[in-house]
Order: sequence, then C-alpha cells, then structure tokens
Amino acid sequence: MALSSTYNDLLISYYGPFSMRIISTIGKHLTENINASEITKMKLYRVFIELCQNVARYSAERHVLLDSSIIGVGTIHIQNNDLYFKCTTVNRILSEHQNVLIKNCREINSSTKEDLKKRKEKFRKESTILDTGAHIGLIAVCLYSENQFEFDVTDNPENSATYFSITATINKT
Amino acid sequence: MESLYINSYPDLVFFPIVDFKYQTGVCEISGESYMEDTYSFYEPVIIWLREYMQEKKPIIFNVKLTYFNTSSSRFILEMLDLFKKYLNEGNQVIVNWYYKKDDPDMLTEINELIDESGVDINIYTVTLQ
Repeated sequence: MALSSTYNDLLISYYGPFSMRIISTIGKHLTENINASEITKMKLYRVFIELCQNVARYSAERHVLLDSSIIGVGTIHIQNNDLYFKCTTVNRILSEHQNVLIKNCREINSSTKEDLKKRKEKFRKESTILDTGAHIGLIAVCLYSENQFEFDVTDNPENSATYFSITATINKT
Repeated sequence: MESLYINSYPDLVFFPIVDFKYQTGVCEISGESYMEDTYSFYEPVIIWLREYMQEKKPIIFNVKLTYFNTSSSRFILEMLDLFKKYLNEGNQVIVNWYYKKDDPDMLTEINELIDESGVDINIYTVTLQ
C-alpha cells in the first residue's frame, strides 16, 4: 500500500512486533511531541492505540517475545499536513478472513454515527469475558476520527500473503 | 477482607492504578488502561468488588482515567453493572468521574456508560496528569 505522497510529512514509521511497550512508547511520543491541539492529539492517540492493538491481536504474522508471549507484526505510519493526520496500519491476514473483514469495514463506513454507537453498545454487551478484543475497535476508530476510514486488502504474489491496510484520518481542530 | 491496591507495573503506562480501600469504601482507579490482557487485570478487581458488596457497605467509586481502550471499557461497564445491581438492592454507591476538559471524547464515553449501565455518574472536569 502506498503512502500518500507529496503533501504529507511522515511523522512516524515502524515495522515490527506490536508489543505493548512499543505501542506505549510511540503513543507517548504522539501526546508529548506532536504539534496539535489537545483535542486532536487525544483523538490521534485513541485511534493509534486501537489500530495498533488490532495488529497486535490479529496479524497473521506473529513474533515470539523474550517472555514467550506471541505478538502480531505489522507496520504503522503516521502522516501529517496542515489539515489532518493520517494513521495507517498494515498487517498480514489469513486469506480466508478477508471477505468478512471487507464486509465489516464496508458496513462500518456506511453506518451513521448513531448506528455505530448502537453497534458499539451491542458488541460491548455481547463480548465474552475472554474476548480481549471486544470486537469494537474499528467502530471506535471510525467514531473517534469522525471520518470514514480507507481500507484495502491486497495479495502479494511474491510470498502468497494477503495484507490488510487501514487508514484513519483525524482532522486538525 | 483486605484493601486492594494494584500498581504492579509503575513504569508501564497502560496499567491503571487501582486503590480500593476496604475500611472507607473509597475506591479509585486512575491512569490509563489499555493492557493486552484486560481480563487478567480486571478479574481480581471485579472479584474484590463482589466480595466487598456482600457486606452491604457504601461505596464511593472515583474514576480518574485519562484513557481506556475499547477492551477495558467492557470491564468498566461490568463494574457499573455491579453497582447498578447493588443500588437496586438498596445499598449506597456514588460514582465520580474526573476527566480532562480538553477531551470531549472522554465525556462521550462517560455518557455512553451512563446510558448503558443506568448508573448516575457525577462528572467533573479537572487537570489530570
């Protein structure tokens, strides 16, 4: 997936395991060093955490940390221009999951804000105790960013892998 | 029964501090909450609350979270559902939520939790670190 090109500054770019330490360190950098209003920084932070934790949980490319925990591998880019931040993650997925993922993304993007809030409430109530994902991460990304997200599923013929990319746009206020 | 204090990883920002005092019933959760395994973190917290509630004593629940992820929200809602049941049984619970003024999304989250749980929450704007 190509990043938006000429008119966006690349603020952060990372490829690797999405451990909590990595996520929290980058997140801390966002809140402390990004030039934006407090409201915008918090929106970016919320979107960033949700997208990163989706990679950590669901990426089909896994990495074993020193403490033997297994974490997802992927990429995050954060770009910036005068009007908005764009937060993009890319991770490998199992090809058999792509249809459901595309369907869910299309449904979220075509939903009103009120519909999304109802879906969020429904999934939160229905999630089981052991379901750490809560199924509502992408809904939250759409609500926090207040924009439809861009997404894509592509196949890499070189390694027969399928990749999911998602970009959330956070307008600067 | 003992008080519950959890500050297991002070250098890891994604675990909140939990400070539940048995003697006074003042229970506070502060910081940020977005750990990977929310169930393992919140299970002992909820168990403690259930056990405390058997004594029918008042609870003052202070929330000073500056951020929580969607996975944590499920357990925050579970705590509020416990409080609702406790209130319906004639017991006393006061929930106070302190949030940063420049964080309208947090106010939205709080109001959604009020709607979903049916628990009244006193909301205050503050300067939180």
